[in-house]
Amino acid sequence: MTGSIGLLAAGLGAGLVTLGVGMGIGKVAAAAVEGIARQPEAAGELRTTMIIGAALIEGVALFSAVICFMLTNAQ
Amino acid sequence: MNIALFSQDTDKAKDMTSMEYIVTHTDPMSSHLWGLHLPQIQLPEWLSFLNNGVITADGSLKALNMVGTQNIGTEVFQITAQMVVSLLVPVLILLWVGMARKNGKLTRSGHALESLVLFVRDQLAIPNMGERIGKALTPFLCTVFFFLLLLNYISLVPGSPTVTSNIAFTAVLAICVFVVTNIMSIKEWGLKSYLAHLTGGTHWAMWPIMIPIEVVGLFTKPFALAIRLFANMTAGHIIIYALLGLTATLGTYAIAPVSIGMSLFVYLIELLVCFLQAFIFTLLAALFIGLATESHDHHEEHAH
Repeated sequence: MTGSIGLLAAGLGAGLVTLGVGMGIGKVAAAAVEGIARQPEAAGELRTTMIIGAALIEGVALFSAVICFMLTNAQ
Repeated sequence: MNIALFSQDTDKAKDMTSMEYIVTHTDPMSSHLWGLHLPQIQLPEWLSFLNNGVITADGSLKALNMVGTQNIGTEVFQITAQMVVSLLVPVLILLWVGMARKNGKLTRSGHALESLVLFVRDQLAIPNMGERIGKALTPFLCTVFFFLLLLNYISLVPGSPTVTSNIAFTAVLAICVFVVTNIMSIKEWGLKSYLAHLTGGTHWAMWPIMIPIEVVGLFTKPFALAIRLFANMTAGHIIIYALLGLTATLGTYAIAPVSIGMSLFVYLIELLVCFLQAFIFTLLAALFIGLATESHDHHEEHAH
């Protein structure tokens, strides 16, 4: 039982993080696609903004991933 | 972070599970670089604070654990692969700059260099920091951008250490950004106005609450920069190693095509992520410096 609850917590945490990130980046990509559909001339700028937004949201998700890494070593 | 995550026995060949495969390859204390064996140096007594490794009783090299009492053995200064790569990258950048011109005309690598530098200046520095500070701080942003770009791309060569997956490197870069932000802010606003901004313009009775919050907010931004880069690079490489180690984990050779295919897919995503993380670091650095130095006069001026 020594390290296994840490492993369980890490696994659950990683799953929840992926859930949140999937929803967040999905909304960003959906808004970008709708914007490009309305105005194809602005596709370049919208694409750049979408990539930046996705990278920032992923940064937050990776904070939690770091905590999950640390949990796998808990005693 | 528990350094024990990254310490392992490099010189023992054994059947490894996927987790052990991952741990051995994300090790900041690796003593091999591209097939070369890197030396250990015995430092004199007065320099012994620089030691970064310890040879334990069974002859293996572990990272020096800064907290805890697990360091039993002789302490050494190991020239790690990450050190050598992080010293090699500025040399590569200087070689690139040296190859940029021939007889006064730009060569092809010169055109590539020019397009990246102009990208940093015209898309990152000047829109976020204004004309004057943008042009003055473009060298700093270019340094950060090219350093991170080459470090990230070199880590994709098989057998290379990932320097940016070491929290120490990203933390030092974030500290540099923090120092530059605050020095530019003090230069632009003056010391009194800079300190007055920490109070947020509220009544003096609110200061005991406002000032700690503002100071914490001052430190979280570079902290987030460091962790974002570190976690992205570490996670990306761990995914690649985990997928490559599927053959070892499952014990059959049948999974090998699937494993190679999936890891190739993630590898291609890593190509994008490496550029993106360098770009995001530089963009946020420019943004923070711009926010810290924006002039108060611009709030009243509306004519162009």
